[in-house]
Amino acid sequence: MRLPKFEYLEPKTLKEAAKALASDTKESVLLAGGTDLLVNMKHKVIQPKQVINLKTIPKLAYISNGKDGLRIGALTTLHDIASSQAIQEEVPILSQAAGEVGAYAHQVMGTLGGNLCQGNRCRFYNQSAFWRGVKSPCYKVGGKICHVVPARAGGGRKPKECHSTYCGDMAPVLIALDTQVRVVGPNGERVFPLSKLYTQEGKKPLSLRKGEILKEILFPPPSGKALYLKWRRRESIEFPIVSLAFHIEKDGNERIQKARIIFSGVGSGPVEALEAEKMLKNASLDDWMIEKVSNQAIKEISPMRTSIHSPAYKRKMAGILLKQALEKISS
Amino acid sequence: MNKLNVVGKREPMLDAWEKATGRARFTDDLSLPGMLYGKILRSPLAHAKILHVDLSEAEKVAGVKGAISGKDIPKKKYGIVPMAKDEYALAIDKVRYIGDEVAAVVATSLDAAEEAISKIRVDYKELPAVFDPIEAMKPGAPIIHDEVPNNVSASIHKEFGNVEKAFRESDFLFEESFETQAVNHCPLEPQAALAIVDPSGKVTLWASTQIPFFLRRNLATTLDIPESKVRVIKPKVGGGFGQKIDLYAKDFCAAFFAMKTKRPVKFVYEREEVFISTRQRHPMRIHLKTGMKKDGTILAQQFKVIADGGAYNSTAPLMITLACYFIMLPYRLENLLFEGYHVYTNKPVGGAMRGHGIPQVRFAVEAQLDSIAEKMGIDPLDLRLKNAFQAGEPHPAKLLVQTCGFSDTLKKAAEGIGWKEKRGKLPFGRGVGLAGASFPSGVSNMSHISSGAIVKIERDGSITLLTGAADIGQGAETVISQIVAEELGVPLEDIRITAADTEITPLDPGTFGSGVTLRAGNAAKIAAQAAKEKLFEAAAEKMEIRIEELEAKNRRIHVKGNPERGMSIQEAIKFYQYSDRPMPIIGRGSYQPPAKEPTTLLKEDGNFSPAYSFMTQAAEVEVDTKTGKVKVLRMVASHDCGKAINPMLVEGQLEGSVVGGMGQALYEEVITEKGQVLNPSFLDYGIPTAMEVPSITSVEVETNDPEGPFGAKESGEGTQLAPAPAIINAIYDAIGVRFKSLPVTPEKVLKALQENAQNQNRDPESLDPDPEINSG
Ligand SMILES: Cc1cc2nc3c(=O)[nH]c(=O)nc-3n(C[C@H](O)[C@H](O)[C@H](O)COP(=O)(O)OP(=O)(O)OC[C@H]3O[C@@H](n4cnc5c(N)ncnc54)[C@H](O)[C@@H]3O)c2cc1C
Repeated sequence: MRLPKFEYLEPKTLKEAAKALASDTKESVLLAGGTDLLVNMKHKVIQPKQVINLKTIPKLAYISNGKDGLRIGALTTLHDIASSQAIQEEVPILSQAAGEVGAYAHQVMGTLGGNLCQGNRCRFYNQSAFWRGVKSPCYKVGGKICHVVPARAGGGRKPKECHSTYCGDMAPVLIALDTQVRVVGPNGERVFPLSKLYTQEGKKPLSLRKGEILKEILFPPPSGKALYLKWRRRESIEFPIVSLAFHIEKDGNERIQKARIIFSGVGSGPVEALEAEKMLKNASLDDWMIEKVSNQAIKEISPMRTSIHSPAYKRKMAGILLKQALEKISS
Repeated sequence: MNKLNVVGKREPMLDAWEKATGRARFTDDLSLPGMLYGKILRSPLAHAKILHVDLSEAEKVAGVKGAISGKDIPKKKYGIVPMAKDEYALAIDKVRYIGDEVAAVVATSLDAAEEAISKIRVDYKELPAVFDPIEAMKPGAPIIHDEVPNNVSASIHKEFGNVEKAFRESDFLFEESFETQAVNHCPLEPQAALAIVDPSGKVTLWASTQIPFFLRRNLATTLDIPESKVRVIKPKVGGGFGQKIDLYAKDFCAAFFAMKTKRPVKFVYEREEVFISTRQRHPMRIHLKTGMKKDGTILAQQFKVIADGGAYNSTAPLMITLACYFIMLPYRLENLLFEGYHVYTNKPVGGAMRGHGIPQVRFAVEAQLDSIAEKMGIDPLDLRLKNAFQAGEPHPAKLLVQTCGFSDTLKKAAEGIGWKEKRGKLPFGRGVGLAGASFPSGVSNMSHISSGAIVKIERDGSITLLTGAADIGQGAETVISQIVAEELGVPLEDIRITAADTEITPLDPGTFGSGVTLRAGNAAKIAAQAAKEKLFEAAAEKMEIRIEELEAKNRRIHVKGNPERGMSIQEAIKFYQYSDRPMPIIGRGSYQPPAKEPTTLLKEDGNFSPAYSFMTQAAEVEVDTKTGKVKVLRMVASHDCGKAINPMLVEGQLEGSVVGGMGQALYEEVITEKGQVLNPSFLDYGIPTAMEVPSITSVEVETNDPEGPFGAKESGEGTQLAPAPAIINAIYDAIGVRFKSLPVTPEKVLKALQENAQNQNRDPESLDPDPEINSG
């Protein structure tokens, strides 16, 4: 499969890149490691007029741990994150999660920014143009249907333009850790919580405005305990079928002050189980409680049949992962 | 036997260095000046009439040098089994599955070829399609090939002994159904072909093929030109596993366009094309009834097997026949009734795949044997030992089994896995299992199943070996060179080998049926002996002794047992020339397995193969009872390959078989929905990775077969039969669930564990207080 034709730009600065990205005359996309983008381009899911390479811009790949806390540049590779001693000490689950993305080749090429901004996935469009040609085009590629939930006359489910699923590994972890993201646009920068990057809309999963580029991730001081549990068939290559990032802070009396439960693979963005989190506040983790919390959490996710794994199975596994996390934390 | 110097040694594969450093050249690495790139347009419909193909817009794309559809090619059907030809290189009139070849283009760049493909307009009239073989067999089902109105394109109905009587005489009857899935071979090198035409009109095709000589024949047939006008050369091939024995559209189109455009033409398949439109292992539904005596004798078995063939035949008749006959090995079975059907559906096409029809039925037999053993209160190992076939026993289908190490493999595999200490005694979630099997070492007597070889002794004492054998990564060239080196008494490095070029090397049927070492190895051995004899004549004359007193060792020809009395090979060559004997020294060998009762099995019983391998694989698994994930911890593979010409390569085959068997047992499935493959990529198709590979111990059992070169039998396809059922049986030992449909995914295991827990009203998790979390 060949890449479609495009113009290619190597900007010198982020500003230049942002301007080029915002220019209305061209449909442009950013290129980081390309491990997500180029596959989609070869499949002709995306056919941009211009590709803007971020890797040629200096000083965007860094891991710094200064007095304003830990910061990671968007162009830092996953391999660097997985093998950084500073991260292994400071936020071990981050290096663990980075080391579980795809296979080694993806980690060496893939960047943190690219990972956070990767496209949503669906078995009906992460396929070749030939494959998709067997069916009518879906919303995501300019058509008028979602094959995951085809609209039925008088049908029950509320019509949604695209049910594609967010399957990234890094976002749930970084949301659970309360990180912020700095983006640079044609008219300046803004900083906001990473969770706000995700719209939960399949067709446009990111809240970035025209021309905005992810520059870095900002970490609060480390606190509490965190776990990342990724469920997949094989120990390499695969996206999570479902994964869970779990972060918990306890007070001096071992009482839970705050808990974050974030899933990947079960919604159109990373999904936070807010009600289950509330249940955990001040709770003591006995078997009954663990059962109750995980039963609550799986009510808050709505996996769709966007992969070869059934929604029921994803839901079941989400509950099992959360139970395992709670058991680990409580022991 | 004499002490061997090269045979039996752990020699690295001759091209290991080349491959490990990326220097080996596969078909796609070849490129010629002015070469055109080809692409194939495939059907997006599972079943349809082709009303019209409009190539005009494609032809207008800049760089396009040719476009064709089915109506432009000779109307010549092909098929790997002559009696089952049912396919055109490009579909004529009708498409039968999503991925069927409709049209092809060549252009000066791949970009242009891809663009041109997207501009071809095809008018179809969609026809009702059928995706389930049982539906396809029902009256009124859509007819996929007009000549086969009931969609059953091959069938076998055979009885050995008297099954009805034997069932009456049985003390116990067991009856169960099993189901296996579609599995893709996943060779790392996708199918590719490069063709040129010389001014005389002769086509030369480099192709990733397992069978150059059959490909030559099929290509000549489909191009409608004489075989003498086709030369097929096999470069390095990155794995085949049976998927590269068929002719594909890429072969035909490369040659056809080369003839049309007078330019070199290359076609390379995408991974997606490998998944949807080459070949796959036939999914099977298997109904199995077994009659047992109280003492544990297997008295009779009755099978009904329905194989989902997909849209075309490929090896259909052979596949279903093998499934039948190899139920009668490795266990003694005097009464067998076998009813087997190969059924067309509008899906990807089934074909030969490592084990070829046998792994599916072997899974059913081995899984059922374990449950029989349990119900009868017999140790599954003892049950197998009791029924194990022995060398020289009469066989109900007249197979001649001269050597058989099956019982030994059973004992060694059991010992290796710790059977006595572990079976039934490990904690919940952990278990061991084993399974046995047998496979032919090539086939005895089908059309052109014989091999030739030429051995030349050069003036400098080096050896040139010409063999038709097709090394596809298994190491055939290394093994055959070892055989020649041993015979001539020279080190392996003295051999130069040229293989698998239909114009230069002698005839060979190719790599299938696990016959290469025995067949091509014997041919090379005979050729080496013939060359040696000529040199011995000269040496004997010089030394004034009889030829029979000489032997060749360590690059010398000397009196047997007396290395001092002799001369170097070079001296012998010098004398040979000075005594006015004609150079070059050439030895020729041809070998066809002896066939006292020649048979293809398709028509009559008789000895099918010159020798039969036997094996047992044993598995130890761990089941995470919270998530359902099965981890294979260890496999012990014990294989009777007669004699390991190269133990390292035998181990390579055994290790590969474990990974393949594990894939089939736990991970892999080509999933289709209305005929469309849902997972045509290495991301979504779950072939095991290096991370999943367990610890593997290989235990060779040597029986020194009289027919094989230096006693060797097969160690290729057969190795793939036993691992999957061994793993399934180990899962039972671990969690007490018998799985009857493959693959056993974590989802199925979890469901079964929960059902068991509900049935027994107890929580399986409570048995396993602190399992390791398996979050990968
Ligand atoms: C076989 C396979 C397996 C994979 N497995 C996993 C997995 O297990 N887990 C997982 O999370 N991912 C997986 N991926 C997806 C991908 O490899 C990773 O997410 C990777 O981190 C993407 O990073 P990249 O730098 O290559 O992104 P790119 O491909 O370069 O970019 C991805 C997207 O993000 C945009 N983008 C990139 N950088 C920025 C930025 N700084 N600001 C704004 N937008 C930006 C691009 O325009 C593009 O749309 C897999 C991919 C493949 C092909």
